[in-house]
Amino acid sequence: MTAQQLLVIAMVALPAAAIPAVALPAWFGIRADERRINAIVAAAFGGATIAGLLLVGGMIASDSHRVVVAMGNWFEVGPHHFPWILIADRLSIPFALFSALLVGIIGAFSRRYMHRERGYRRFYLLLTVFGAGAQVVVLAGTLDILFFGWEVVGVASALLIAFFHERPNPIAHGLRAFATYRVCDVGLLIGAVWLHRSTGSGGMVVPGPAEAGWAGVGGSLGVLEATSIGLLLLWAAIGKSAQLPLGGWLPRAMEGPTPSSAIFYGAISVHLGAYLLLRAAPLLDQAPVAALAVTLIGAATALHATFVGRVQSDIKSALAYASMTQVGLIFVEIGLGFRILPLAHIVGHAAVRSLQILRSPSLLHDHHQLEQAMGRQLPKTGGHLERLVPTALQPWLYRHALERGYFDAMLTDYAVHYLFRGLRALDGADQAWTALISTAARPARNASPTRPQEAP
Amino acid sequence: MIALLPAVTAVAYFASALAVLRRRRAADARRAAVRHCALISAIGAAVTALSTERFVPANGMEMIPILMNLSALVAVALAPLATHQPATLARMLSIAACSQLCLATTAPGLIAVAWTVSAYIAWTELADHPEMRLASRVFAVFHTASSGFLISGAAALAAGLDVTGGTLALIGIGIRAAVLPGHSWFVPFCEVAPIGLMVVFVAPQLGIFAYFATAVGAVPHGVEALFVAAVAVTAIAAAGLGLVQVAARRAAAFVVIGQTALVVLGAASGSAVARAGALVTWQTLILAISGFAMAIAAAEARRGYLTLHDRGGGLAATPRLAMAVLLFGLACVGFPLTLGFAGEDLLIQGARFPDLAIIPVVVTAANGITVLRWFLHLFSGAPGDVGVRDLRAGEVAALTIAMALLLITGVAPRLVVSGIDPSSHSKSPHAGGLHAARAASGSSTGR
Repeated sequence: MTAQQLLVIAMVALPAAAIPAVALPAWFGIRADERRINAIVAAAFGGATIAGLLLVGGMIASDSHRVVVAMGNWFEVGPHHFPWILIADRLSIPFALFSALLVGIIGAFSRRYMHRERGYRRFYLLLTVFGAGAQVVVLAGTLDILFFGWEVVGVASALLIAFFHERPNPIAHGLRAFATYRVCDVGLLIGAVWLHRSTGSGGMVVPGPAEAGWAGVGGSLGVLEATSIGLLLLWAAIGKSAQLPLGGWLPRAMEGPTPSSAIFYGAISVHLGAYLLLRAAPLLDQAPVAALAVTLIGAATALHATFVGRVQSDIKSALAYASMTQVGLIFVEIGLGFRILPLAHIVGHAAVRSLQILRSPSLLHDHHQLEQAMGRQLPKTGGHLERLVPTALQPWLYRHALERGYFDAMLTDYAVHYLFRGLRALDGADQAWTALISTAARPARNASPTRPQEAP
Repeated sequence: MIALLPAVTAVAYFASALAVLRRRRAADARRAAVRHCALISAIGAAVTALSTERFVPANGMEMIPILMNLSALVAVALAPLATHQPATLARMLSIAACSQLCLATTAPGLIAVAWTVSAYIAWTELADHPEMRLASRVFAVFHTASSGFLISGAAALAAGLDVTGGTLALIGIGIRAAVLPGHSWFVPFCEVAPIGLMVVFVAPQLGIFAYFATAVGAVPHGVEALFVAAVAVTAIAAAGLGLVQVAARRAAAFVVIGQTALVVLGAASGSAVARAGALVTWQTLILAISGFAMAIAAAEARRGYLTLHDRGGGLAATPRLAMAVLLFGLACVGFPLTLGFAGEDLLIQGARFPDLAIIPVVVTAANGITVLRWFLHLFSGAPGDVGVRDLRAGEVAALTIAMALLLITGVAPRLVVSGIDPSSHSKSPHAGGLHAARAASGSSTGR
């Protein structure tokens, strides 16, 4: 194994190794020491960052475009095998490096922000789990490994949204985010299985040594197959990147601690959907319908979010919709066939948005300082929309924005409500059938829980 | 052929049951049961590590007796004293003995006898308590049918009637595995039975072993297809019903039904890769169900019957208990970093695409939401109960062993998967006639 390959492994292994280092003392009841926890996380992600920088330096020096680390089969049965492959190329390196750096910075920032907060160790454990998962997603050389990291990121994200569990809203919003992820992850997994059936593996197609492009999902697929798989991956990306019509979880996700909001919904997690689509670029090139869908979804989301963001009354919600807008634009860029532009957009957006979200608790203080320095009120911004949108349309648009485009209401009142109503009816019927078998009276409905017969 | 280790282990469990029954106090009985189970587990693990084929089941099932031992250990170690008197603990050990007896042989008759005895013992626990009358009645109806079908199937197989015997056995197995329409006993049983007893009865998933020993390759295509369809519907229905439950035990019951159905689906789908996935997921579920259910039992012992309306702030007061519920729950649904992830991958990749492959994807997605929903609701909220204690040392030790196994094999699934021969379990030892006919005609049910 070469030094560069070892560095790629280190970018994943160091954050992964920090997980048991933080979790095991918690399990065995060892008292949490903030300094020690912080040191572990800093060392892990600092080490991953340094490994990334050394890797970049090495690749530049050796003029290589990618490093592929094939670590053999994780397991195999008959014709099926699960290879563990990591790829560091022009797509994954900026992402991985930026992720490791940002998690390290957030870890350092949180040392004071979360100081003496109940759940300090839980916060850092979830941050570490998220960071490790993100590294796996970004450096994955197959869709199966990408799914592995994708799931880890999803759970960590949901648990951090629900961090302040004393209140009911964070719980509800964390569940909403997780449910959205799980529903959309179905697309990623089915797409991965389909790819296996069509190409014989879930691995990414790695360009030749002389080619500058990055590895991607694709291969020799028919148009219909490529379109179907592309749409499935788009469905997965919609959930993770909070695009229409399933973006309602993002502003609600701001219930979590500000540092995690910054890194998840400003920087890393919210861009993973776009990352998946960039990896699926060869597929989108073969499937114009899927590419068009990416473009339309992105454009609709950007329009929706830019209007809804303007009626938010709290800064974190406004920034959430601003993130949604930018990610929508990134989707448009990907759908239109750009590759380097969306990558640059992601990195720039992630940096700016993280900073904005980290500063958001100080927004009022910052405004006061600015106004005192200027000696007057800050000038109003964003007036270009008022000039563009006809006056007659503005009240309607305002109400539409206040209701967040009615997407949340439609999802809750129609899709979820009727589904749950049907399931409760089925549950009632099942309980009635069981009671009939036991020749007892019909039980009460499940909505009013009654304790069943219990052992003494 | 008799696998010696499970046979000897069964005798040890019966002896332990007798010893536990003699104790007067529940605490003494539990202490004795834990010691015995720990000793049996340790000796079993040592023998398995050093053994030859003569001692343990073969073809990827070598670990099953050890996992069942660990499941029993977790069940007795976390059994709440209030609901697990010496008689209940003795029944648990007896049921564990019957499970080991099933593993000790591939003779359908002996499997059917052990199967019936374990169901009878579980029923006696329900029948002993008047307040469990309804559940005991339903349990009796379905398990009488299940045992009847399995015994008839065993008799038919012994008489050389492969198709009839395999079909009858399959129906009996389906009822015990809670496959529609034979599922109605499962949820009431989980709701009222002492949770430790529920775990030792349900977690070993004996239906899988019985299927491989009696029915696989012995039933006609049409029957098999019908069975697969019933299992598929069961998995999806259970996943959906789990989402709308208000009571913790009912939600857990539906998660178990759904995940069990996936294992049965993999075993019955005909593909070697899916069968391997069924074996791996089976092994995961033995431990994961045990840990998940017993962690819920520990929470129940501290806070009473659990519903969605209870937000007792357990995360602050009992963080390790919360962590156990979450990790074991996620292991049940094939979360990465647990062995279940490898099992789910094999189940999905080995299933017929697209119809059967989509089912495990959707079911695990829904069950994952149920697990997290319950974790967040059970352990959120401001700390209410002062003085609620976290896991005891014995509870931590038992759960640590189970969790460590799930996580280590999750990081290195090769430890489990490499022992599986993909060509094995394609037919039961008794399915000679039908299987040969299929091979001669070149038709196959799977890949």
